[in-house]
Amino acid sequence: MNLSVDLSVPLEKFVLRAAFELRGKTTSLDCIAGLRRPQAGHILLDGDVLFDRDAAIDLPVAERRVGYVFQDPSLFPHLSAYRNVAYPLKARGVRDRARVEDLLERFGLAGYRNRLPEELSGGEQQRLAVARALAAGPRLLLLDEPFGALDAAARPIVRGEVLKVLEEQGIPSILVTHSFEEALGFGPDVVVMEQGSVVQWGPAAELLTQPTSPFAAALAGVNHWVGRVEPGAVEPDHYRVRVGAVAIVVVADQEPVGQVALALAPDEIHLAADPPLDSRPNRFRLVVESLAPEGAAMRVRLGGPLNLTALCPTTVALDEGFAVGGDVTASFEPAAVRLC
Amino acid sequence: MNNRAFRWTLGSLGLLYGSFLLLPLAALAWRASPQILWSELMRPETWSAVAMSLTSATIATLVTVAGGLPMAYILATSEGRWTRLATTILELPLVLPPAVAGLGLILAFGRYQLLGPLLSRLGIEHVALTRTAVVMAQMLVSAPLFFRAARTAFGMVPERYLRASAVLGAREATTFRLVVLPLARGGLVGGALLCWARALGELGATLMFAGNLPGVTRTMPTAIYIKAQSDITTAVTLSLLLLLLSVAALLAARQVAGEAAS
Amino acid sequence: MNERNRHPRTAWWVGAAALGLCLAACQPLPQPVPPVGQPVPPPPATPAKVELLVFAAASLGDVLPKVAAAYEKQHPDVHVVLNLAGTQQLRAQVESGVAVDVFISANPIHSEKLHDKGLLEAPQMFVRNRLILAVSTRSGRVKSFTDLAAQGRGAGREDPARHRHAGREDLVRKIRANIVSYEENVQQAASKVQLGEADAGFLYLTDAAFKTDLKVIELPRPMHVEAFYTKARSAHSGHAAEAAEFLAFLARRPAVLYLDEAGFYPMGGP
Repeated sequence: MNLSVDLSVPLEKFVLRAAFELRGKTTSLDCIAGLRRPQAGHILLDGDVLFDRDAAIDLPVAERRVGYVFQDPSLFPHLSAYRNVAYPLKARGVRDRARVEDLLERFGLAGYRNRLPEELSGGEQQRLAVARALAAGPRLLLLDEPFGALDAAARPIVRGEVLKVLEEQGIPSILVTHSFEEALGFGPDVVVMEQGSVVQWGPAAELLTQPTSPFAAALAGVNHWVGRVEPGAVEPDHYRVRVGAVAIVVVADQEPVGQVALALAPDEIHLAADPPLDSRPNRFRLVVESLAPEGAAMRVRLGGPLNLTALCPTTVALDEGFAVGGDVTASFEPAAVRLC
Repeated sequence: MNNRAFRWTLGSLGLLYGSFLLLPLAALAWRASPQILWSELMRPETWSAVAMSLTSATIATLVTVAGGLPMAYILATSEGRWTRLATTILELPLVLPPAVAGLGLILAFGRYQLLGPLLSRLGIEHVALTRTAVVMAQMLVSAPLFFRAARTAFGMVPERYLRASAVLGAREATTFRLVVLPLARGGLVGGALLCWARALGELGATLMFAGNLPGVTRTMPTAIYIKAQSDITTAVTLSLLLLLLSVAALLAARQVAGEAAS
Repeated sequence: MNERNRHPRTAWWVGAAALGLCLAACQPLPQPVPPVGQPVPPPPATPAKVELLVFAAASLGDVLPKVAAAYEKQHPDVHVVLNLAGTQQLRAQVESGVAVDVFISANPIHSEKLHDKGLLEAPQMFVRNRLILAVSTRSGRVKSFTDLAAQGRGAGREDPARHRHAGREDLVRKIRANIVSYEENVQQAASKVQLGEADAGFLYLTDAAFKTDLKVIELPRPMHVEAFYTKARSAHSGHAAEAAEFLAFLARRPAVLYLDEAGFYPMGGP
């Protein structure tokens, strides 16, 4: 496959937010760790050349000091929890009991030091895997969906614990995940990869407000439309954008021209069963296509003249009697729509 | 067929098959004479054959493990046409009749054969018809059993542990020592025991390449084979002795291996 | 299907299998076949032929097929089936009741024993053979009998000390010290000498005949060991006339010529 990644990452905590192209992100991490050899380009870490095709430099895996936690914890099954953490030290002929004990302590595993991995729960195993990776003293930590195999209830807890230690230790980390909330909770920067290429990279909030592609928007769960601006303001600073069969009114300081992309957060949309259409802008009569509970809210997908996803309080959804196939009126403020 | 009937059928067939395997052994025990067993036990010749068998099989196994382990690891961790070819060639002695193996050894190491002149220049006049030849014959025939078991054992170590070890800063040699060997241990010990048992029972290649001289190159199987042509009862008794010794040694080895595992 | 219906069927199954195994075990041994490596006689052209079963010592394995072929040429109605093996093995087969018409032994003891048991008619003297020292022309280290006492590696089938050799005990002891292998059979001993792995080997003259890379050295008088071959008709032969004719044929041309060519010599003297 053809993968081109161009990341120059400042060494502070950031998140690599993977697209659905699974091979793309794993390949990226493998190349950084040295488990795979890129066909071209170079990889620099903290000023050190890890790989440079043109200069024929390919630092062996063992010398890169890049920590890597796989989706599968891959703990050595014949070694106790203590020996697993001590492994990277032993491999270099170092004995540092205090360091191993400290890491076990930090990850809440001090009581399990003599247990074999198979005697630990999934969350404990994954914590142990991170502890082991940190014992090697990595300059950079790669986390490839480390919480993916955990059940939904344990995931946020384990994630929180790991995150806390990583912050304490101040180790730059790259997390690959399919979950947007996981990415948001992890660090300030998000990279979106699509089909093996980086399509968006920046602060997480930017992804929410200004997705650069339908793909990025879909990842963030943001409504994203492309439309054409109808010349002339409807009222001061208000312009009309034609999206398919409907027109959406947006607010802008200057008159936008030609084709524009619109983004709208799902919680900015108001849903009601009854109110009929009136002359106010951005009110559409749509059909409920699906309903999915999400915490205390309900994610409602609507179709009709406009496709959109809204997030409304569950109580509202129940009171109003939303049902798949039923009609609802969706409305939102022109100021909530972002031009990007 | 319901579950009980199924299990009964399989159980009965298993019993039948088991009796087929055990019958020759039972017949040996039946035909052996306690008097002859006693008088054979008193003969130094018997003990020299026993000692020769045990030591040569053990040396053959140790050399096989030392030499076969690296090769099995290399072949288990490489891929491609040449790997498959090499593996097939190394396991070929499994299907080779022992007499052919013996002939091959003579043609390779004989005094006037392929390596003879070279060995002679190194000061080694004779290989055939010596104790070394006994070990070599046993090795050629039994090594594939260990090699095969080792290759399988190495191949069964999941690759993710090797990757994990590498990113934790371990070089391949360290990974081999700390991860691969411990995880493959069961298969390796089993293969070594199998190899040892096969070496202990080796006859054809030994007769061909090492000959038969009481007190020097005579092993238990040779002694039994030669005796069987003139004195069946003694041969039977020696067979029983060999059988008991092998079982005892195998049990002991398993015990040792089992203790090391826990 | 219910259980009560099932069980008898299972039992039947197992019973049949057990019976099969038992039948296989109880079946009489098939007719003796020549051991691997021995020439297999051609199958009879017509089933009406008389099959003459000849058991013979393995050392006759090179010459007897030629004799049998010659016999069949003169007696088109007879098909000679040869069973070549160690005399002891053949004797055990006859004792266990395997049918035989003619028995040729490499050691008079075995045929005498079978005669005593009433299984064979009185054995007649057949041919002789003698122990010699075959020396390897490849190694060339042993050129005479006394050389082997001083150096070199010998091979043989049996211990030379087993035979009488009055007055030469010291020599025999020295030779024994240089023996590196007691081979399982003479052919093996011969091949070890031919290959040069052994410098010399104690063989019978007929085993050394026509072999390359070795030279025959006669043993000194006191150590002379001769083998006597006997021939006998089975006491229960179904083809007594043909068996008698075959025994007589063995003493006529061309049988004697073949035997002479192979190194066997008649009872009268070399």
